[in-house]
Amino acid sequence: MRRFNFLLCAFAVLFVWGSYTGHSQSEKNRARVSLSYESITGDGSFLVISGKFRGDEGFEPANDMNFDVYQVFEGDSLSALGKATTDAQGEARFALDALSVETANEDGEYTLKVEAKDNEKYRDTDKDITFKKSELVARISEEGGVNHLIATLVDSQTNSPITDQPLLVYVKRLFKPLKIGGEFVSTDENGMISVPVDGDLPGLNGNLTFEVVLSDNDPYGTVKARVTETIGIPIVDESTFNKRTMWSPPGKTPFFLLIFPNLMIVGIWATIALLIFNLFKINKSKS
Amino acid sequence: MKDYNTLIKELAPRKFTALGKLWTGFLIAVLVAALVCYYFQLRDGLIITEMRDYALWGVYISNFVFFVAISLVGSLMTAILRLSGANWSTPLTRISEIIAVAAIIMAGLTIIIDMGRPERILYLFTHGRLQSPIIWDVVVISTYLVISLLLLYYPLLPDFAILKKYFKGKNKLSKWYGKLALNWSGTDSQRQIYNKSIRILSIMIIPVAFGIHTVTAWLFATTYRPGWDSTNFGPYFIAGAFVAGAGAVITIMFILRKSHKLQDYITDGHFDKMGKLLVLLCLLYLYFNVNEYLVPAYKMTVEEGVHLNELFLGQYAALFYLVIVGGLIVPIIVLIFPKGRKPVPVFIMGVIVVLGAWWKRYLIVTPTLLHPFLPIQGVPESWHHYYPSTMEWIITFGTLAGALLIITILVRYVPIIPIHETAEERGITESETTKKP
Repeated sequence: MRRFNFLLCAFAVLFVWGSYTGHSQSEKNRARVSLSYESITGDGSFLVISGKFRGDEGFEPANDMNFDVYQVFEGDSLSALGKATTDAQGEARFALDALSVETANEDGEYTLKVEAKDNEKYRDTDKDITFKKSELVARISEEGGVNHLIATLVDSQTNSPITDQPLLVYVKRLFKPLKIGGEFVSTDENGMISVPVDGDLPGLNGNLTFEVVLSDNDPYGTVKARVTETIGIPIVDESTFNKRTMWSPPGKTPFFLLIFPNLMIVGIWATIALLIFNLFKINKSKS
Repeated sequence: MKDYNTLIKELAPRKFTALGKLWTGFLIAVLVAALVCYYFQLRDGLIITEMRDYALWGVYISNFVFFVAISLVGSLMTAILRLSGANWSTPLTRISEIIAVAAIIMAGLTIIIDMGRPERILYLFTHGRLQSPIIWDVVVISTYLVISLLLLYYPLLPDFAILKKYFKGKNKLSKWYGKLALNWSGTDSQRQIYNKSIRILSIMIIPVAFGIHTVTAWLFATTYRPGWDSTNFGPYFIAGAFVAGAGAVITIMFILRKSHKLQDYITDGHFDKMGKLLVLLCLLYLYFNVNEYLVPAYKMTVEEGVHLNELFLGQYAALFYLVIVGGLIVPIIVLIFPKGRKPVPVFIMGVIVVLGAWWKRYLIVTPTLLHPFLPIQGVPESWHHYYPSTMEWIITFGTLAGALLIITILVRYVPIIPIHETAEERGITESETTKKP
């Protein structure tokens, strides 16, 4: 009987605690997490974590959501890489500088896992991603008087060319990148593309920045490479921002407007001072 | 010929009569009412006015331009007529100088009244851009105020010395006149400095006066709006200011002649001459008006057409014809005849010229703002119109009362007619009269 009472009490405590934790979890938002791998040649590689949840006004970004980032090895053993927190847009970019080539599996793949635990606003969740590393290199080369953008895509592990993959080529513009070379250009057997560059593209001081993108690829993720060359038509900066104009701030008043009106003002006020001084002279010159 | 003592007795300042006290009390009452309204404006902001996004300048700025116009009279009567050797204007110079000082003080204050955040006025000087006509106006108004004060004060020096002696029995008054006279005894060295200084002032005030009116005109003309986009605006404003100023002098001189019994000093001849002068100035202003309306009407761009239509046929038409016909053409017709240049008709014409001048400024400011080049869209219907609120009117009347109060107080304490100059022109000297029994 005593044992029965003890078990009953223990069950009651477990039930209350379970109900409490279950209830506290149910009040939190269920965030949908997505992972992507992004590599920018020269800038490093990143794990991009995005979170969103269904709020009152449809899907809303899951901001301030904390994640632990792990690398998963064979046999499901984990190695902690660090922590990441989503920003106002519900996105976190985790730099993968610590991800060494030696840690890839025999197929050259990396598996990463993110876990969100004990967040105030969000339920616990996890997600993993498997990707391979690649290297995209871009350069400008002149062939027959025409500039070409040459890009090469190779697998980082095997150093072999990645063939028949669609690449996008853009020129950076002020508002939106300008796509050149058609919708897609696929890599050849050498993992290369060659896109001719129009000679009439304007750029500040003649500089043109090109971007080659392997977009959302399985298993390589998103890979970008940028190259800047002085092959555009130089834009002459006609801004008067730093010049002395009629519409500039007080510190940049045109010289003619500083000199002539001030000469007049000083001339008139000097005369006024003389006239006031004359009043003193009249006051002192009583006979 | 009057002797020296009679001259001083007739021209020395006098105590207020019962009517004078009533008048001063009335002006103070209006001023107090305006101050109360201004307190509400300071507390609640410019929302108490009817000014909104489009009619951003209203009756305050119209009033400001009117005061600036009136202030030109100081340079006209004192400087231009003095330098051109028109000695007949001597009895009118002090009146003109007093009007000029009162008007320019109130012009400066009216600008502050129009500011939503008057406590930031110092920023105009600390952060002002020399490229902006607003800064030119601030500079030229303060300069003109100081010159006008000096032009009023300098010719008063000998008069203060005379009044010091005259009010010897009244110690306090005599003491004050003595202090203000700056030990004036009429020595050669004093006269030399005095004459030289007045000559400098008379010359200097003319370009500054032209400057203040031109710059005020540029406040409008440098803004790309129908009705203001004109290279004619500077001289147009100066011509209009001469008309308003002359009208103001005629009005005040008539009242003071009556109240102070100055018929021997401000004669019918003065009214005749001021009448002729007013005709000339009205004709000149009419000529500028023709330019101002005819040329845009000939080109008739869409926006100018809307603006002109509002003035000639629209909601402002009655006011427009009242101002042009009543305030300019009728005075020309009346004053062109010798009978029209008698004191009473000249006075009446002076009054309607001043009233016309005030409403003319209103017509320059308001209709243009309500017809900008870009159409008024997406704003409450009431923002398409402007008519001053009661509080705006009270504050505006307060500024007018303020100007009249300054004139009234100055008339109470300084001679309206320059005693010293009048005595000199009439060949009456103290030494000669003292020899008389």
